[in-house]
This record gives sequence, structure tokens and C-alpha cells, in this order.
Amino acid sequence: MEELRLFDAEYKFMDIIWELEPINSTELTKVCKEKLGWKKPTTYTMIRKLAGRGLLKNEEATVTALVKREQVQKYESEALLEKSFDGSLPSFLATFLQDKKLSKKEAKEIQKMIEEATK
Amino acid sequence: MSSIFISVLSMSLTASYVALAVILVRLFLKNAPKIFSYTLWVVVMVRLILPFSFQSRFSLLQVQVDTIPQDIVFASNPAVNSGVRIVDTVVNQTIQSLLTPHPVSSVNPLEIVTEIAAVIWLLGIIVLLSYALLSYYKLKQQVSFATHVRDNIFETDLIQTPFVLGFITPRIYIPTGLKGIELEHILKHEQTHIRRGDFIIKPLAYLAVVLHWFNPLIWLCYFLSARDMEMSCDESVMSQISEDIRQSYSHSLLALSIKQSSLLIPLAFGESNVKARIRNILNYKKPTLWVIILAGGVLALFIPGMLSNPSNQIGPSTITLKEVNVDMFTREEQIGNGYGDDIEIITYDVTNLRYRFLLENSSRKLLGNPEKPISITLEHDPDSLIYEIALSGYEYAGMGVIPAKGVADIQISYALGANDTKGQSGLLPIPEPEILDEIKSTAFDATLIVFEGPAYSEWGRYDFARDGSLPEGSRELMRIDLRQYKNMY
Repeated sequence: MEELRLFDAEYKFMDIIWELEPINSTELTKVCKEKLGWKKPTTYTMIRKLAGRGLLKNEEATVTALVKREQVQKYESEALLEKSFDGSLPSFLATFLQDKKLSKKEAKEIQKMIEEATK
Repeated sequence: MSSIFISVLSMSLTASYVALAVILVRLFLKNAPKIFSYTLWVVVMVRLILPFSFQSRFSLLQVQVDTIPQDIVFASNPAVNSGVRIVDTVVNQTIQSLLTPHPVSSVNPLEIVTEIAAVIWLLGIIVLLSYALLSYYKLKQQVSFATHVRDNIFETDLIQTPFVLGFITPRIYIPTGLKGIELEHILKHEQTHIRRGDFIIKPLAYLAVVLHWFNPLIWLCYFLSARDMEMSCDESVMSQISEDIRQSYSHSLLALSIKQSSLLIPLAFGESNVKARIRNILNYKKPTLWVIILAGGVLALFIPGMLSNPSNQIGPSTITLKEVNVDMFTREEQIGNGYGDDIEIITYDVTNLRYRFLLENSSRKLLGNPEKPISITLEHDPDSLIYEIALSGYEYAGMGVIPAKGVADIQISYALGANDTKGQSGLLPIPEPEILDEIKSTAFDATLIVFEGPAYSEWGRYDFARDGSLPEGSRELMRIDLRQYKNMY
């Protein structure tokens, strides 16, 4: 059942299809532009990806879903960032948090620090 | 290629001094708002990128800025001049013992080493830039299906930490599942980054560092400045919100970093960034006027001081050798011999080799003065004829004061021999014509040393050892290999 696990973006995309199917692919790109902020090629790539996984079909420029909403599981990724950058972002980009990993001990220490400071 | 490399090396040295100073001042500013520390790094960045600067009396740099002369590769006795005695001595001795070009075999080790180093430097840059580009595109790929939330904010569950991406229209990417106060804090933080242009500054800083990748001190600066950037961004967020959000902001940071890390991997060394940031946040107080004035004052003194070059700068770029002339002539000279009433005046024909140097001063200041004239001396190869024949084993240095934005004509002469009919000690017979010819043809196989000399000796000139060693208290300014001027002769 691996194919039925969808990432957040894929799920949102299927959501649109379930709601509006059958839908002309060009129409679909317009909706995705509005709702998801995707450019046309992005939408087409997504159609192609999910068609390859058997989740939808795109025949004669019309897109319909091949699975039902209940069959599908929304899957939240966990470790994808780690696979690319070993858990950290390249530091030459403006980042929010940087590379040092937090140990349990340190997390506790910091927690304590916050509580003490704002007593 | 290698000339660019040499410029970068010089810049790196100057930037390193500035970096050390910044690190010191930063310690002093530890309790002030981080924005001041962050601003200091601007100076380092400028020094890393701009090879030139303006001269000012207020310069805080006590070292020579043009440390490594461009023609060091060709010098018969290559040397650097950093203005710091210890550095100069160590570096120059190393160069001397390992890399002095051999006059006979015409192999110049220093030139080869420099070329190789320049190539390695270039390779390093290519590697680091490739890494940066690859990372950037990988990241772009990861967020290609991020969905629009509002304004310039996009979310995706394929990332775990929020960040800003893009150079022209930067977008904020956040992981899905953030909500409430946590989301608000994060967005404010990233928006502050955008407002400050950090999404351009940081990559630019990275480029500057890449140019100097061989200098570990610069990498240190990079990471320290990145820290200051994040912390001053945190402080800005807190000043933008009127309530005291220190606790909730810290909690947001902590929560996000716990999610990000695996919690099982122990720390490598030192305080993690998160801890340091939270500590800084908790200590944050709205800065008082006094602190701002004080810190601002420090910056106002320090930044121009570090950006400008010292005005007493005399370096390879201040003095240029415009022209060299060499001629040989015979002249009647008289020497007095004896003491008191017993002085006998003897007249000789002395054959001289005379060098005339036209030295140009590009600075608006007079170079040299009667106390410390600009002096020149020549360094010859100990195996050369001139070395062997020049009178009495010492030579007289040329001296003069070079006018502001002007040219000075300074000469050095050697007595090559005299028609010694009385066997006076120290006078050699005039060499055979073939020898004189050979001397003429090898006259340019020498190095001109320009230095800030001691005061005139009592006879109005100063004696120098033939091995080119300079008298006490003099400061070498530049060396010029005369071989490049041979065609002028």
C-alpha cells in the first residue's frame, strides 16, 4: 500500500481532483495556480507523477481520480531533509535554525533556562 | 592568474588583522544589542573584497597594506613586507632558504610555487562554488511542490526547518503543521531576514569567504557573523512586538529545534546555536540610550579606522621606478693621504659604474626627510663581477627625498678601479676592457632595494655592506629586480 501514502502537497492536489473531477487538465492548472500557487509545469509534473503511481488518469486532457479519498492516507514526511543534508541546511542560506543537533539533556537544560528567566 | 592570487593573499592578510580586531571589539560589545556586533563584520567583508581603500589619518591599521609586492615572483631576493617585523623575518627567511631563484639555472622556484598555489586556489573555489550551487538547486527541488499559504509564504511537509530562499523574490518556506504563536514568531523572524536583505547578504558573504578559503580565520568570521545575524534578527523581532514575548519565543525556538534534531545524538562541542540564541533572547532588554550611544561611538571610531589605510603608507604602489640608466665613466679624483701637515694629495683616474634611478612618488606626501631620507642600495649576486670588483667591499647608498607626486633622481656609483701608481690600499687597478664590458652587460642583474634610511652619517652619506644588509633603524620599502629594465639600457 506504499503508493497510497501521499505527501502533503500530493494530498492537497488529490483533494482538488476529488472535488472537481472530471476536470480538464488546463482548468486544473488554473485552479492549482490559484489554490496552491503552482506554475503550470509544476501541475503537469504532479499529474504525471501521480498517474505513474496509479492514483489518477489523464485521458484526452481530462483528469479523473482512480482511488477514493477513504483509500488514501496522508503521510507526513519526517526524515527527508536529513537524506539530503544530513539534518542541516547549508549554512550559506539565511536560515532559522542551524546545524548543531540538540541532545535530550540540552533540551532539558534550555527548558529550565527559559522557566528560570521568566519567573 | 597568479597576480590575482597574490592580490587575494595580500587582502587576506589585511582582512585577517581586521578580523582579529573585530573579534576583540565584539567581546567588548557582548552586552550590547547584537546589531552592533553584526555591523562590525561589514568591515571584514569590505577588506576581503576590495583590494584598495582610501588613506586617512584615522586609520587603525598599523601594518603595511600592500604586503606582497606583485613582482615578488621575479625578484632575485623575494621578500614580503607586512610591517610586522616577526612576520617579515619568518616569511622572508623561509623564502630565502627554500625558494630563492638560482641565477645560473634560470629556474625560479618561487614562480613555480606561486603558479601551483594559484591553481590549487582556483580549484578550491570551483569546488566550493559547485557545492553551493548544488545545494541551492537541491533545495529548490525540494520545495518545488510547496503550496501557497499567503503573501510570500509557502508550506511543504518535505522540510523540517523554515528558511528563506530566492534572490530576487525571496519566499519563506515553512514546514506544515506550524500554527498559532509559534508560526507567528517564525514568520516575523523570516520576514525580518527579508527586510534586511539577509537572503542576499549571506550568499555574498559566502562568496567572499570562498575567495579566501585557505584562511581559517575568515571561516571563523563567517560562522560568528552568521550567529550575530540570527541573534540580531531575534532581537529585532522582539523589539517589533510590544509585549514581552521572550518566553514564548524561546519556547517556539526550542520546540522547533527538538523536532529538527533526533535528540539522540550528543553534542559535538560547545554550546549549540539554539542554546546561545535562547540565552541571548532571555537576556534581551530594550537597549538604553546610553548603551546605544556608547556602542555607536565604538563603531563610529572603529569602522572608518579599519576601512581606511594608514596615511604613512609607503609601499610598492606608492613608489615606482620610472627609469634606470647605467653608464660607465672615468673621472679624476683626489685623495688625501697622511696626517696633519703631512697630507699628500694624490690624483687618480677612477673608473666608475653609475646607476641613475628615477623614482616616482604617487602619494601626495613627501617621501623621506633629512632625518630619514629615502635610500637605495643595490644587491648583487656574490658570484658576480660587480660584487667582486666594487671598491673596498662597501658601497655608498644613494639617498634623497622624493617630492610629493614627483620624481627624484637618485644615483649609486661604484668605483671599479683606479690607476694605482702608488699601491694605495683598497684601490684596484682599472679592469681590462673585456671585464668592463662584462660588467656593463651584467649591470642589470641586481636588485634595487628602496628603504627608509637612517640619517646621513657625518660624511654626508652612508656606507653599506655589499651583502645588502641594511643599517639599524631602517625600514625596507620595496625591492625591484632590475632585470626587467634591461631593455631600457
